[in-house]
Amino acid sequence: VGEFANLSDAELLAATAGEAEAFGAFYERHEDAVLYFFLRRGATADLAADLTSETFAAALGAAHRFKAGGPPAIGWLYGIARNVLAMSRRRGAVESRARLRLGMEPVALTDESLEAIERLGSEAALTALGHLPPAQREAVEAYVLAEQGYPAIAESLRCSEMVVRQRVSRGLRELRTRLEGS
Amino acid sequence: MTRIPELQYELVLAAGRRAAPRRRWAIGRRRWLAVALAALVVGGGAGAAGLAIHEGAPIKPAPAGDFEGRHHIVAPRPGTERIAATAPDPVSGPPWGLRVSRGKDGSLCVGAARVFKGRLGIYDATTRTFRALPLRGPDTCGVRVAPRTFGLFAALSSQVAGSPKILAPRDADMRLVVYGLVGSEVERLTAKGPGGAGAISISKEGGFVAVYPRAVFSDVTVTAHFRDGTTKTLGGRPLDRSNPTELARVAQSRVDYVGPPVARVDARRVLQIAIGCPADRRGRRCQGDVTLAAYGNGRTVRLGSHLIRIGAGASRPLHFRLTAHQAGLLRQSPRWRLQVRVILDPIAQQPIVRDLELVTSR
Repeated sequence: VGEFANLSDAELLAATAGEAEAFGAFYERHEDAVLYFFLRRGATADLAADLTSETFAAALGAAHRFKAGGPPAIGWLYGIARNVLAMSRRRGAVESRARLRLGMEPVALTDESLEAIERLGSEAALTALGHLPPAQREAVEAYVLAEQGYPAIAESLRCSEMVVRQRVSRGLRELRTRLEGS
Repeated sequence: MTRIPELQYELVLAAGRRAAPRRRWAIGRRRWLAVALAALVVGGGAGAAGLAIHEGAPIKPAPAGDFEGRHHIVAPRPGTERIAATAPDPVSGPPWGLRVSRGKDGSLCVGAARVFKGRLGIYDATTRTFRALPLRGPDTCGVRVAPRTFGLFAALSSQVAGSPKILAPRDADMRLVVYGLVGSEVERLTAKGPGGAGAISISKEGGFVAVYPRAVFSDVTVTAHFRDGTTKTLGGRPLDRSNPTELARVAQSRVDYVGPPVARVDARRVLQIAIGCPADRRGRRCQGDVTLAAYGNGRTVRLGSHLIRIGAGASRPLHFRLTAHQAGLLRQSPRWRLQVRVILDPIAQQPIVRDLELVTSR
């Protein structure tokens, strides 16, 4: 995965067709963000894992259609996550079509994985993150959870790097205030 | 490290499968180029596999004391080894190879794993790291080849696409590696597996290796076609579970563990397991598909699998090679359970899983 550290999200998705591990790096970069997306919406750890699995399976199935100059990858991924959640709510069961299309088996979660997901959901800072204004939250999530650089976030949020820095800075200050208050 | 390494691994495998059809097409269209590239990888080129492969520290050989002497295990003679056959990995990374060497008793020794720069080793696809395997330890000696010999080994390996981060790889995460040696009377080999039917190349030394993703041995049949027109097939057919004779023989199988106590398990050691299986009244022999798994602290660590042919009495000890990660996990487990799947020959082949608990001292 270290090989891919310097590649952008768009480059990782483009490389997936020839290098399977590139998608592993993409997953590693955004796993927390997607898991947290579902946890924040009330999913339990195992449900969040299933929804995350379907989200990344759908992303893998559509990776070849992702265009570098178009919507940012993180926004694209959140869009898929929103669809997966909506479809799952409509069906009353976790959507699994993308996973089945890829021939992926359901992931059998270990105790360690469940604990790690629960930790993500219960971390106070992340709970506080949910109370930030959407623009700040998105910037902080991309910077802290997805470990993206300011230029990449600016590109994905379609704003200047300066604006991203301000949003991240204000968001983190707000988080500190909330955490100290709690 | 991700929170759900199993999912990351599944996704990488799925991405590899999506890329695979394009690769097969390319091989069909440019077969000679592919062969030349594979030779480059085997011979020393790193560029053919795409991005660079890192070389980690070589794995140390098993202690000399584990061989000869009271253990009666033959060790390969250094300097006699060569890569006798190669096959591409169906997903990614360096090709697989069969290493053949001479044992100190004159018998042949074989081992199969990834090949990089002409050496056999393990490959971690997540970090693109190759670590050379020593000669003494992973390879199995005692193989003797007569003109009509057709014997094979089958190993389930999680090292392949191998992430040591994955604590409990499932069969679907593994490769089935079928390898062995044939005698001069074998003209050609064909195989049927999950990907369809095809030929397996035999090297001039009589070696062969074939790799299947998401397969177990009962999914694959390998047929030897002899020069006199006869054939012999290994692998394949489900076991008749309604036959009490077969079940009774499975129940009689015996397992002897001759490895070190858990507290002393490390990556340099080779665990040795001997399987006993008495012949039945008709003198049929057992064939064992033996998987060594360890259970403890809510985890399962699948360590590897061997296909063996057993006469009456005990088999030669099987060697299970551990990675440092597996050894570390085992040390946390006070109990191991051996998962032994014994199947019969020639009735073959869907194995019955039988767990034998092995309590080891700390």
